[in-house]
Amino acid sequence: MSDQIETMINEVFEESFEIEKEDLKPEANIFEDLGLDSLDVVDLVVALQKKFSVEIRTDERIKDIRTLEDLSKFIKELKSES
Amino acid sequence: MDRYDDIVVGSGVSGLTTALILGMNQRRVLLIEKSPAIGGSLSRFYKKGIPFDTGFHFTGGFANDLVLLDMLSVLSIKDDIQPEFVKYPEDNQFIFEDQNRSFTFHQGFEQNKKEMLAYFPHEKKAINTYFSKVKSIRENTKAMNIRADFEMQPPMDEDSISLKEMLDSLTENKTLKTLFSAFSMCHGTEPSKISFANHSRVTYSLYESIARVKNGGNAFIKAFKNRFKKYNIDIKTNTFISSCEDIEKRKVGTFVLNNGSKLKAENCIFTIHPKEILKTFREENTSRAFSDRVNGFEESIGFFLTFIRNTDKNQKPFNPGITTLYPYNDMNKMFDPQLKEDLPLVIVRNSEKTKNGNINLINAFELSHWNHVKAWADSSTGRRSREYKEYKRKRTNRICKRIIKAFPEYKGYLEVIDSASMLTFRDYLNNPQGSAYGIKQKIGQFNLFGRVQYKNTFAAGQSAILPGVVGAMMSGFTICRYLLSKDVYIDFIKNQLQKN
Repeated sequence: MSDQIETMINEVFEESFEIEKEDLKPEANIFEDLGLDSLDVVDLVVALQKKFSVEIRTDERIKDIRTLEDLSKFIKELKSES
Repeated sequence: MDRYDDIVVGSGVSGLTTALILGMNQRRVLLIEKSPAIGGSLSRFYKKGIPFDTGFHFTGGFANDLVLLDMLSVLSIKDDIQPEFVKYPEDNQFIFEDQNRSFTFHQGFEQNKKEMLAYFPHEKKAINTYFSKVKSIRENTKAMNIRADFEMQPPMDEDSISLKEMLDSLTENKTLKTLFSAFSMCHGTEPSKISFANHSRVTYSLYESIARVKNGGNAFIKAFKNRFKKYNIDIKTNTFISSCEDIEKRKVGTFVLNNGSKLKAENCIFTIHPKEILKTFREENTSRAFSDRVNGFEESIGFFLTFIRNTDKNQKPFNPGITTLYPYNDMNKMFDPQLKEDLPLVIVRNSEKTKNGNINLINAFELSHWNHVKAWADSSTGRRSREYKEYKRKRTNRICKRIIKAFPEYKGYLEVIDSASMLTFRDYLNNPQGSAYGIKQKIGQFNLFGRVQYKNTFAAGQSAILPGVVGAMMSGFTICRYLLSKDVYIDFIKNQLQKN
């Protein structure tokens, strides 16, 4: 299950932001390593909401997310809460 | 190469507002418009010397709820815009065709509540709760009070509840639910998709007052034009941005216009339809995530508009008035794109002074969807097929029949001057599918608003926060608050409100 979430997150970055598969390491920083800009955050949130059918919009925890690992941890928490 | 502080793209009321606020704050502003004239759907058109409204027919915000008046004061155009209020209950009427029942209301929020209670004495709790919720949401939305010094507000609980869910929780009375959602025609999104909060923000001011404006949207255009001269705001019509070039560190270096000329600007503010913004950025230059987001927006409803003259010489001049016909007692059903006939019909009456004296006019607009006209999407104005003309003729006839059923005294006196489908609106207003309010305002949606795609490109307009004149102007104010910095903006608002 957890691997599946990571795979799905990676798919979002590959498909929606055209980031190379080999760059998608758990410790990769979304902004510094993967090159997203703060301008892309809303687009990323919309893409993740669609992919995982979750509501991220008003969640305070997204502010602390830096790496892909943080992101998958957050999605897993969200999924287990619902 | 020409240099501007700000380029404003699109000259509907949000573009006009944004350009003027920036110009009044000593910025060098260029306003560009794709059409041959500025004004967007504010522009009236003339046929047989008679003026007709295109997209601006009536609004709230002129009495008690002062959001619109305040904005006009700040822009110093309040005196140029003369409201013509709907005054009498017979001019503020909702007819349920399937039950042969009619409801009329005086103006005023409390008055509406009182009259609703009189119509539905057994629904006291539902009516009181509904009105108190609408009022408290409106009052707590600080962005709708330009006098307020506010920080960004987190969404309210009612931002994630649909209008339908709220109404279902309040009452089982179907007629009352339809009446509560009666103004859905004024924001273009069905009760199951719009949040109760946004419904409240739009409808509150319509309960307080409904007014037309003397000379319609042209009064706005004229007033803005005068002000633009004073602040040396440049205007270019027949102009659009064909590409954004020299992008460095996510900032556009050069804006290239359709005539090939190149411009530098600190900021560029797009007040056009979100899908037209995406087109300007070109999909290949944006992330899939961005284009998916924009392409995922659903178009709001549109209208099939009929322009009619009442030729009865014994008819007194029409007071400004609105009558809405509902063929079914179910607002969500009436928004179903599969319905082809007898959709909600809004009948707006007014009288206009022309060279030949006073004339009585009816603008009747029937809810419409893109699929009604999609078959002829490849054609352009003046070159439509016979089938399309037949569609227009039939629809116009049916509309006239419904008007006569509601107003038997008009029989024999309705002269149809013209009609316009969603294709007409698409082609005259450069709007991808001729919708009336841009995109639908759906729960949980991330609209294009504020900085988008590049560090120096911004989105505003009626799709950004709320539809209609008030929502569109508000989006301009909010963007300027950001561009001018909060302190400069607040001083500006304060000074202007004191002066005017």
